[in-house]
Amino acid sequence: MEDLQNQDAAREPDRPAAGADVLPADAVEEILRRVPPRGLAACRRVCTSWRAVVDSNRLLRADLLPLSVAGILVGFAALNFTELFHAPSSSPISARLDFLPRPTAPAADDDEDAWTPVRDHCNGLLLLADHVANPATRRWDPLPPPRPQQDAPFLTRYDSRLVHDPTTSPHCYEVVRIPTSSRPSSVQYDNGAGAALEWPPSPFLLQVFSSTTGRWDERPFFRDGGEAAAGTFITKLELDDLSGTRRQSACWRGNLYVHCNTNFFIRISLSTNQYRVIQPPPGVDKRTSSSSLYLGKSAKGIYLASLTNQSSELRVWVLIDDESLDQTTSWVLRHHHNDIGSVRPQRYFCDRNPWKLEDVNFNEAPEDMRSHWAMLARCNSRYDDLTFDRARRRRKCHVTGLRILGFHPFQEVVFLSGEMVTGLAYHLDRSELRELGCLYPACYREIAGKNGDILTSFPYTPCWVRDVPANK
Amino acid sequence: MAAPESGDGNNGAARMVTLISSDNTRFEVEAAAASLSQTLQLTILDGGGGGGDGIPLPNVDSATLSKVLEYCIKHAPAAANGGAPNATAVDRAELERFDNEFVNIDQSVLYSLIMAAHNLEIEGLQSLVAKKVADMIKGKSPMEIRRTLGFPDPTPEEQAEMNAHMLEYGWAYE
Repeated sequence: MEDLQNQDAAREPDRPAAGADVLPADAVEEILRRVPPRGLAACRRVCTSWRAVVDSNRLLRADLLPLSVAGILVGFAALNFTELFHAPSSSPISARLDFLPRPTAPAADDDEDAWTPVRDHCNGLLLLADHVANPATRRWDPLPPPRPQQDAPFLTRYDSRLVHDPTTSPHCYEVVRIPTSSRPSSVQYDNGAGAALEWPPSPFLLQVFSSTTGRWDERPFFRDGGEAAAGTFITKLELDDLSGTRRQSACWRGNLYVHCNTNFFIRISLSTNQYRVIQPPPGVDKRTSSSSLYLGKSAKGIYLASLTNQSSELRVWVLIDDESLDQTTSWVLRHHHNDIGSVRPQRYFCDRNPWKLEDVNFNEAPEDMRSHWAMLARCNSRYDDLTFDRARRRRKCHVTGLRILGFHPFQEVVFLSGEMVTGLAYHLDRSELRELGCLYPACYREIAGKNGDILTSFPYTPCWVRDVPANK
Repeated sequence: MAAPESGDGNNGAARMVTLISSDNTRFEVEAAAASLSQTLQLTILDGGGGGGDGIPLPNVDSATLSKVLEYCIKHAPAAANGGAPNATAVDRAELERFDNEFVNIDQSVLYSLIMAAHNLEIEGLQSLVAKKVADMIKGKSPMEIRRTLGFPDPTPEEQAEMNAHMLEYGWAYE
């Protein structure tokens, strides 16, 4: 009895609570335990006592969040594992994914590129053919096959995109399947392949897997209002793009931005079931090769980079997309360099130590294969060095064969590769190129022959939040 | 008096206890419902609250107490089944619907409920109201949180301190 009376002497019993400022620390803690990291950062600034609750209970564990780049996940053609190009001094995380139940690949369905185990990366989670996995926590979830669509067109390919933000919703992720070619039965083609059709349609039916429900659902997405509400017109030929080029997507502020066929972009809002078509910046059109473009998230939001003119001219745009403003979305040129190949790269990005490729494909191969490749490589190497040097001298440039690997998510830095051999970081504000290290897989030339290519690349930010995926 | 019966009161006729709010209103409820409160459970196990004595709750006013008891009565059967492993989906959906309705209340009532749930140690209610407030915080700036939750306007010192911590966790404000 006495205990009961003493327990909250702090509050007079007959005074109705005016605000949450009267709550005792225990009750505040109870509340703040349910607030995701981004909200906790705001709660720390609400008042001194709230900050004390957050700090003394270690509620905000920024060290677990995907706030640093541990490397770049690179999918090479003809290799079975996606490689991790490690930043120095990052935690020893492996792209081997040996915690997954075997076999992981190849996928049963052939609507996606079965060569590349890692199909998408979002804030530390990896999307594989039939799993969602976190290499940092070594946890995974099975991803069930999507439900067959009712009016399944026979020529349809999909790109699956992963959406996960542990700073706002640590307990869930979603996978969105976006058709990259399609024959919607509702659309009539009057005069063959030349007829244009409005794409995406509204409603745009997308299959969405939610980790909360554990199943796929078909959700209609509607084109949102505003003056530029129209879709884009493309022909059936353009739509049925079977080139297999992997276009990028990026998540920012809860929206998914996707690079679509014929180089326009859509912003998909999973919370409002709306989408918006974003036209490409001037100079980029449907004739631009999609592989010369890279859409990604960086310091100020969504960025687009393009490498043209024999991959020497770099342009970078920032997407102005503030929903609180006038609902318009437009690209602003952030950086333009006419000849990036002429920039002399400085040695090493940070710590003065090189980045290193994990080389899981070579290391996991059987012993006899390894020695065979190594022997071939010894024969080839002398010849290689000579031709590289000659090619560079002829073009009077320091780096050749550039391609975009991705954006640093928190600094205005573009990651590039030169001839698939050198990893490079280009600082936009200083126009400075730094060499990261060698990303060429061991004996790749011997393994892949002439088919050597980089198919996918994602800057990887490890996440140690253990809520999802659930299995281990 | 200290009968070794379980606090669930499932021994035939339901045992009743009387609770007395701070403004001296008497509430008679089943011991099983009142026992959702860890604090009351101890008293009830000791045989208190029966007959004419009643258990005085000097920190809980009658309006809040009746609300608390509304929750306890609704949740008592499920709790008696030991977390209700054999509850049907319908039952669970019904409880969920009740919970959603239950916290759809005026903020001052909500804070009184938080205090009461806290003092009476009613686990389910504590987490229900905490979740409600956490949802109200979602996606808001520090100033918006203060306004939403009815904090008084910040003093200049508090304002300065809020600004001083602006730069920490910059990723959260991008």
